[in-house]
Amino acid sequence: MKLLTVVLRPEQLPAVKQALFDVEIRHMTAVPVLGTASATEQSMYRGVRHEISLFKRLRLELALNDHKVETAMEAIAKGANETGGFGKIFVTELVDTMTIFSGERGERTLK
Amino acid sequence: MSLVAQVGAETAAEAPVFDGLSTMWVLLAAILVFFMQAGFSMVEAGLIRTKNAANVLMKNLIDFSLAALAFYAIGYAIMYGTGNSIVGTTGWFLSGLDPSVDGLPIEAFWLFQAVFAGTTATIVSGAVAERMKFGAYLMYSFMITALVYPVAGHWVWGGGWLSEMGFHDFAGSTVVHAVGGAAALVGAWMVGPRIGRFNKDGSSNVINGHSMPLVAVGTFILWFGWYGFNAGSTLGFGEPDVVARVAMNTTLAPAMGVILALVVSWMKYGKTDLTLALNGALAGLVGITAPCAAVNSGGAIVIGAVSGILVVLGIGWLNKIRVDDPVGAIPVHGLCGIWGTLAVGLFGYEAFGANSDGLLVGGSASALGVQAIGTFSIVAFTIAAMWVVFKIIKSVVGLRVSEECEIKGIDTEEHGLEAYGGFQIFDAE
Repeated sequence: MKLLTVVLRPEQLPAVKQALFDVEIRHMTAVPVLGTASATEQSMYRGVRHEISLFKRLRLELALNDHKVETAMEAIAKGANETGGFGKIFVTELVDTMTIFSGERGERTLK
Repeated sequence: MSLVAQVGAETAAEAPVFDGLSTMWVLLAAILVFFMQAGFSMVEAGLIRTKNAANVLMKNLIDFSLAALAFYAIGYAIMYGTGNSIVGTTGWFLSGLDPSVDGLPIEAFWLFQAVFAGTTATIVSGAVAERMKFGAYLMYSFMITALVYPVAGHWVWGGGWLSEMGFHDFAGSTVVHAVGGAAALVGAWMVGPRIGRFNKDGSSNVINGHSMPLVAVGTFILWFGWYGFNAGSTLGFGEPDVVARVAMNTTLAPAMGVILALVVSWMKYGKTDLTLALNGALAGLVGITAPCAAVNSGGAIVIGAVSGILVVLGIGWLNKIRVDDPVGAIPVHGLCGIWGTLAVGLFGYEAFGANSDGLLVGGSASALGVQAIGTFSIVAFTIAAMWVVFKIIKSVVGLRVSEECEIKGIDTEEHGLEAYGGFQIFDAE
């Protein structure tokens, strides 16, 4: 089992989500986060210039069985590339899972 | 005439005759001015961070409540009691006063004046937001509404030395707004800037306001309430043409204030800053407050234009002298209050109630001189009086919250709650 942690720009979410739905991956959690970028931006508030170094980002988390990982990554990349091509996917090993309602454990819990 | 007046006076002693329409108008106007408290609350809450938003709402609530009680017990007597040219000394707790003030029940006249005292007090809360102790603010609110504002008010509206000179401040550019603005300057300067607002090299950092919708709705509420503030200052409905002229000028000046604040911020900073444009509306409103009855529509437009320019330049100037005013109260109420008062001497007409025609509409500089003496002496008095008040408060309870409290936020530290509990609002598709 793997955990995919995807960092995107908020405006990419609709396309990425749709691409995942298209390959029958429907379980994910979206979290609003702030992230830095390679450059900062200048802005102005009430006549004072300031530097913005943290930008609104979106973190998508998906727990998947191993055979779905490639499909998911391709779908995410497809959706993200339709909307500017920003973002990164991190893949980590998932040690265990549990469905709280049934008490089921492991691969059976992931669709 | 004199016989009628004498007969009238005798009748009034037994059963005072009130002017129903005028009373209705003044009460309605007082209620509109009261609603300006909501406007101030929203503007100030929106222009500061969430962690101190509940604190500034609390300050707006408490300064009005203290103002109502202090102005009832003490303030009214100092402002409108008979006394000398400096202070009034009769009418403590409104006792022993004539039940009628120019056809208005004393209660109606008092209410209209009390909401003005509340407005003066609440100007300061935004300028000292996010770092002044709540206890210190309580003491300040009582002092300004019981003592400082009523003294300035007595000079101009209570038969004091400035009214004897012919100083003209129709609805309070100086009496309310410059007094509030000057008190805000002293308070903001003495309490010091928020942590992180200025750098060692003198440059400024941005501390973003948290809700532009609140700032906008607050400004609209203030503009709405200002129709009571200015048009109600006729203190009657005997001259509907004056009421109407005031209402029209109270529309034109802030409209022009918005346009000029927008243009200046656009040219100067390359962005059309919503908060500065909204400040421009308030600047125009403060500017037209003194001259609202004495000028024509052209005068109102010019006064609003200058106010809009002054407010944007004033905000930049405060950054240069390192005074932290999160909401722009000092430029809006202080600078534009002085400007509006001087403008009576430039654009005012004798036929419209000014002491003499203004300098730029065919008159002499004498009216301008009286206006300058009036506004600068009241600003000087307020700065001196508030310096003493804030010094005393500082030595008794301290002005500023602890560094830990300031960093964590005054809402949780002083009030034990948050403006927005739980997760914050976010949007996603």
